[in-house]
Amino acid sequence: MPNDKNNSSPGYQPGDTYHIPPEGSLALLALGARGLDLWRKKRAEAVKEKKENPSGPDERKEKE
Amino acid sequence: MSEKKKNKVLLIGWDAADWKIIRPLLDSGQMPALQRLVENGVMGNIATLDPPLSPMLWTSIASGMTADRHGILGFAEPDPSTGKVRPVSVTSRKVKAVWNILMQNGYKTHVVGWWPGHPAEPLNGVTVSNFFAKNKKGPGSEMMLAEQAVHPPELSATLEKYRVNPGELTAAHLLPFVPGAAKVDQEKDKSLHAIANLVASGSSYHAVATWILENQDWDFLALYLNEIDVFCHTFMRFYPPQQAGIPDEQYALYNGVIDSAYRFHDMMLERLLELAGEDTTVILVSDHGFHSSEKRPVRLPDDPAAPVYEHSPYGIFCAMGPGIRKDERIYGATLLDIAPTILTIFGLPAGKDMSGRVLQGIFEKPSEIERIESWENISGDSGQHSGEMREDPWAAQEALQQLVELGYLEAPGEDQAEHAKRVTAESQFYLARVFISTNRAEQALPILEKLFAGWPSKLRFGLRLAQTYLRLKRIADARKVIDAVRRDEKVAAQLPSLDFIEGTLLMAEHKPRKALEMLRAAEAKQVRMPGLFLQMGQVYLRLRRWTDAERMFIRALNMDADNAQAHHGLAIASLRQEKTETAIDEALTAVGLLHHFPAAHYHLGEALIQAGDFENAAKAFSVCLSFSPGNRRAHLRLGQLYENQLNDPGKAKEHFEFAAKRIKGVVTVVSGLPRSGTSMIMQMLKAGGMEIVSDGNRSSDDHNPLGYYEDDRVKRLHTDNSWLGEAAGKVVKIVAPLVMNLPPGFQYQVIFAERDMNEVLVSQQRMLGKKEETAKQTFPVALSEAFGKQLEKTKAWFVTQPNVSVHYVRYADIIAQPEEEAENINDFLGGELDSAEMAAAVQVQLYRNRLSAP
Repeated sequence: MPNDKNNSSPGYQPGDTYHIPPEGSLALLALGARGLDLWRKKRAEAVKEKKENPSGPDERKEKE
Repeated sequence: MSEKKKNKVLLIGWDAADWKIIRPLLDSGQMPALQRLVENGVMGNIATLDPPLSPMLWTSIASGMTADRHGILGFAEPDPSTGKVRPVSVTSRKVKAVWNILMQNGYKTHVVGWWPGHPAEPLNGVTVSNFFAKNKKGPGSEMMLAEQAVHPPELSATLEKYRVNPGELTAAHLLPFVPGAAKVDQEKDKSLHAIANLVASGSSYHAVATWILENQDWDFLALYLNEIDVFCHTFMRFYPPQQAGIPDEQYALYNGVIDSAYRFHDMMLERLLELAGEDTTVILVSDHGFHSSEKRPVRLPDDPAAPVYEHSPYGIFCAMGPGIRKDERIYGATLLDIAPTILTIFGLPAGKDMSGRVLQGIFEKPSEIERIESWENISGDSGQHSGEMREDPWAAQEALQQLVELGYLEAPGEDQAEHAKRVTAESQFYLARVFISTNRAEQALPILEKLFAGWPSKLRFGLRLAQTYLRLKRIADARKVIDAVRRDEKVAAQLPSLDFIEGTLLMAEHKPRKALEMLRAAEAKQVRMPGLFLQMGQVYLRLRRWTDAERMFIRALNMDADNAQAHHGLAIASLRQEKTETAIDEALTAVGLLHHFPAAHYHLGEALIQAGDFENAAKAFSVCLSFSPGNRRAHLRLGQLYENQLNDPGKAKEHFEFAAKRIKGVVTVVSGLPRSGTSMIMQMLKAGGMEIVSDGNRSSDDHNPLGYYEDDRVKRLHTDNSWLGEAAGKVVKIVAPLVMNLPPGFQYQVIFAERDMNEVLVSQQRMLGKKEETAKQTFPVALSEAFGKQLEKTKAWFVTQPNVSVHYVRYADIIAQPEEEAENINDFLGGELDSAEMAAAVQVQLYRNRLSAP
């Protein structure tokens, strides 16, 4: 998946990993249905994690 | 997903996308997907249609037909079942869209978000209507999916989850549009809400389209996004450069919104190109452009469709795919060409009832497919709604009204009924505009006459009616309407375009000085109508004020560098000042922009003669004649060139003979009803230095103490016109009932006198021996009607005669302002007469039989 640092070029390769920020991005919206699904999944995970670990960092960098 | 087949088409619509905004973004690498489309395909402008209202335009794109045929006439329509007003619906479309035709031919077709597209059509693929992303409850609240927004209905649940709620968007989505968003007071300023709504709706339709491309078989997919248009209507006032009246802090916050909207669309385009694959023809199109920079309207008129004044006449067109030329520019595309072109890509014929043409220039190997009569007659499942659903809302409204009047139905509330009536009037107005823009002004006329009679306070109906009369050369009728509009001074003062239209009317009335005053008034009111400077330039040309004309055409070009008429005007102004090189350059630019432009080819020829380039001058005159074979001046120029410079006496003779045969000379004719002031005009022309054709048989009397200036041969004109050659270069009086006997072969300059019909009849009865008081008391109604019809017939005949130019002049005006009218008549005749002597020949004391003070 392209990330929002390189959101305008198809120069990604299968197997590349990208960061999906829980707050979303225009690049994820531009990916269409796939990007929307990924963002909402990540957002739900982040909410769940925050509920389970309220003292943790607001945002964790993860790789997908 | 199935194996990809050839001839797939992805049609993407970006409402209001404009190259003028895109170009700097492309140049700075900010729209890489579109760059790829442009470099690997064809691109160009696409001309919009009038009126530039999106539902009408997108239906024309989809059907290849103008709105009078496809039936979508604006944003709203009466609801056939209730008589109330509803948003325009796809069930009102009377013809097949390209996707209906493709489905009939076995192709799997999908349509997402098209406008109008609700309720979703039952295609063999997925249809998502333009109500899909409507947010009923506002940002942050639950969104309800409109009924019938998705077809097939069983996909509603799957697709509904791809609707993006503006409330779920975060700063990460909004900061790219407004980096200083934290400074926005969201209680007072709802701009961030507006952006969130647009990002959400665009993303929703885009997500559905990508889902279809990934999960469904497909041969054709149409995706429409209206967000660029709404972004522009909302934020164009903040687009650089900063306009007067825009506060610095607002400008700083929002000046990048529109560029960001385009960048976001480019990101979505990237994904669509990727999913479509290389064996798909991708067509990207907009329905019109959007005025940016200095063309932004300062204020919008009081008009339900006022935002369309922000639209510019050219949208964007790009196509890329198998068999499409690469890195080429195309010219001359219109919205009507899209549907026939898509059919050609699929190897299908267009219908003869489609007004558009196939854009052959986009193909590496153009091929003509013979058209069929119409796709409307071809049966088979096309995925349209059933006949019961596809109802003409305008006819239905009439039927509904009848049922209300008969007492079978309860009338809609007064407000609703009034609203529906207004919507119907607007739709009729748009229909009239469609007729005007497709050279069917005569069909527009009865509609506009009815609208103006029914809604006299709707001045734009009156203005359009006046313009239509002007187009049909019914100058006196145009004058009546303009005068009626002017009567309400307060309203008229708020209507700056009135001055512009009246300026145009005054030019048609051969009153260039007054026209100039009026156009200057329009300019002072900051009218941004594109034709204003052009019209002022034309007036200055007429007045032989070459440097002023030059200045105006340059101003017109500053507003629209591709205006062929402005380049042509500048060429003439330069030519007359002997700025030969500029004249040649400008004329060449004019014909480059609009090749079918005989007058520009003619003036190019004149400029080349001035430059001593006789061979190319001859070529230019020949091109002029190829478009306008009867152009006498071009024949004469060619004759002179072949005789004097190009040493070809044979060709010279040919052209001289043609010119002589075609036009034997210019005859000036004074006409009008008897007793309408024709003799007085003859006196004026004689005093101004013109030679009169008169046999002197009818001598002066009490009714015409200065003489009649008539010739008995005129009465026999219908049987013998052999003498008319004697009138070339002179003036002859021919009363209105006889003027239609003028034979072809001459150029006629007609000065047509108009006078109040009552006065004409009283004067005629006095001549017949009745006493003045008796004449004034007995009004011959039948005669008045007959004369009125005669005048109408004569004026209609003038319009159809290419060799007749007419200057209408009112008797009362000559009496009231002889100097000015003399100037106007002199201007009409070429300016060689003595206007002062002409004016001095007017004897006000002879204005008798008047019914009121002049």
